[in-house]
Amino acid sequence: MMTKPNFQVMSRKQLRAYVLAHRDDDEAFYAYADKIYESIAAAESSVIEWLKLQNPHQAITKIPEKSSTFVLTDNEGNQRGVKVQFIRSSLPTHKPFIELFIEDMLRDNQTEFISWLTVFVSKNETEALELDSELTEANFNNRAKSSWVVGYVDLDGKFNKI
Amino acid sequence: MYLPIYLVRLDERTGNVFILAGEELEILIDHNGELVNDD
Repeated sequence: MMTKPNFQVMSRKQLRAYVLAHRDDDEAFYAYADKIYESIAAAESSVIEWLKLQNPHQAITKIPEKSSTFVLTDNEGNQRGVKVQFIRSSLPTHKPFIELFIEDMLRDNQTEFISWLTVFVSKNETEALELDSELTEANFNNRAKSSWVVGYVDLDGKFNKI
Repeated sequence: MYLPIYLVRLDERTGNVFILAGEELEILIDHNGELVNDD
């Protein structure tokens, strides 16, 4: 009988290749999915740390039913929505994702809070700068009705705004 | 820009949908239909 590899020690790239070659292996797929969730959770906490530094007197809470969505509440009870958006692929353009994301924002988020901040998490500084200009070009703040910042998570796990 | 799609799969534990395309692209859509991650 073939023994299965230890999915826990495999890299994300290895797991992806394994999942594509063993499409009926649920265990492999779950291990792969979990790896991606872990990476999202780690990047999310980096952004939360950064947000706390930026807004030392505000409470940050997660909106449980939504992915990567938080609320900043100040001392007077004013609330601001914060959406963390990961655009970390190295594609030549991110425009289709930006358009999708604007649609998502308009559909669900607009009415909940008066003001929104979107934190875009890119792959690295170079990609973040490119994403920044694509967002400007797409007129993101006016169309999605949200202010925004772009940054990336460095090797130390720290979020850096560009 | 066109990429081949290699896998579309629901993670039935979470309701998230994964799309694997091109050499490296991983797209994650949550149960609300929102784009969560493209990596």
